[in-house]
Amino acid sequence: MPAATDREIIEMAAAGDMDAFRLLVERHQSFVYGVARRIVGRDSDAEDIAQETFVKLWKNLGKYRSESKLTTWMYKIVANLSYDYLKSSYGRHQKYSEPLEGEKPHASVEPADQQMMDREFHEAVVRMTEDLSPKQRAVFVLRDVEGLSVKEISEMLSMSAGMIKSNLHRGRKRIAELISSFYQQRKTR
Amino acid sequence: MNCKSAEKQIYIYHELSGGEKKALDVHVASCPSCRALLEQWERRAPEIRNALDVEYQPRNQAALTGRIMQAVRRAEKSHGLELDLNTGWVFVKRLRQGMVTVSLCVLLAFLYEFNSTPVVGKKSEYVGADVKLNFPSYLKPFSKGTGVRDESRNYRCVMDCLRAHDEICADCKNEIIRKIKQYEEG
Repeated sequence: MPAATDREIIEMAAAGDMDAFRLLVERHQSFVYGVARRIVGRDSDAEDIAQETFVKLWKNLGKYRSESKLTTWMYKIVANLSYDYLKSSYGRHQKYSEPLEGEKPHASVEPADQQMMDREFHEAVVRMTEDLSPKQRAVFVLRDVEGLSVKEISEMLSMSAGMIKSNLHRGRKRIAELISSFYQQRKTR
Repeated sequence: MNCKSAEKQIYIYHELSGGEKKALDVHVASCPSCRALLEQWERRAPEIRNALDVEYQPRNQAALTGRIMQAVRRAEKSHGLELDLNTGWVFVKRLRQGMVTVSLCVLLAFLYEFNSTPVVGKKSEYVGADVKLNFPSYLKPFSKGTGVRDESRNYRCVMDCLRAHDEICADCKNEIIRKIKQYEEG
């Protein structure tokens, strides 16, 4: 069965074959988890969303249209669940309101080489995305990290193209401001 | 195009339509600060993309698979229960019939009580303190003969007294006591 296509596996799973569905989970859970992790930013939350995505997939197997790619369908489910999660948890988590305050624990560590500086930059950028509103963050990650088009995001999140662009503008602008202050702080260290 | 509207488009340069891009290019060519901003963003955007473009893997693949399958089985069970309730129309029909019967019984009991003899809760020297829990009996003395309240004059007097003085005058009080006695005597 490992050589079976997604469509064949879905047909078997839709007929109630749990083993077939397990194979589907094993095949795609990294992808689903990765998308959720990049949008919500936390391991445990991404695992919850991955779980919820596959439960939703199982419940709707009968609605799957074979002409569309399974990953596209899963992308839509995971993006929407992640976006809903961001909306429901917005404000509960600590925000990156003061750009460099969050980095204070690392401030005493002198970056020894480029790799370390890259890691520091990566962590800082991830924290910066936490400062965005749920809408801005979901749109930003789907466009700039996942590389989806405005049209695809618009269909996925049921938003107009204008709204996508306006949230993209605000999100990118905010990130640019935070990065500028990050570099400034790095210079003064 | 001014700098303010240009700034709104700089961060979404690659999402602009052909016409919008051209208009922005014209402005940027003649505005050093907007050009600097666009160039800075064009440098930063790939840096940000690279920083965030990380392949994340679940901490424990097998554990996550097990957890997902457990949740799916739970969902399958609850989904089955929903189906039973939806398809068990006989059960639902009887439940509905039972609820209708109970509602009708309650309504009949209420109507029976509504027309029965009054229940006087308390006797007091003040007329208003007598509580009569039966509306038709309360109206009876006012509706003799014509079937409508024929003491409208007294009623208006009582209401006027209450409005003006927050209490009823001696005449009204006597009239009401007289009516109650008349009613009690038969």
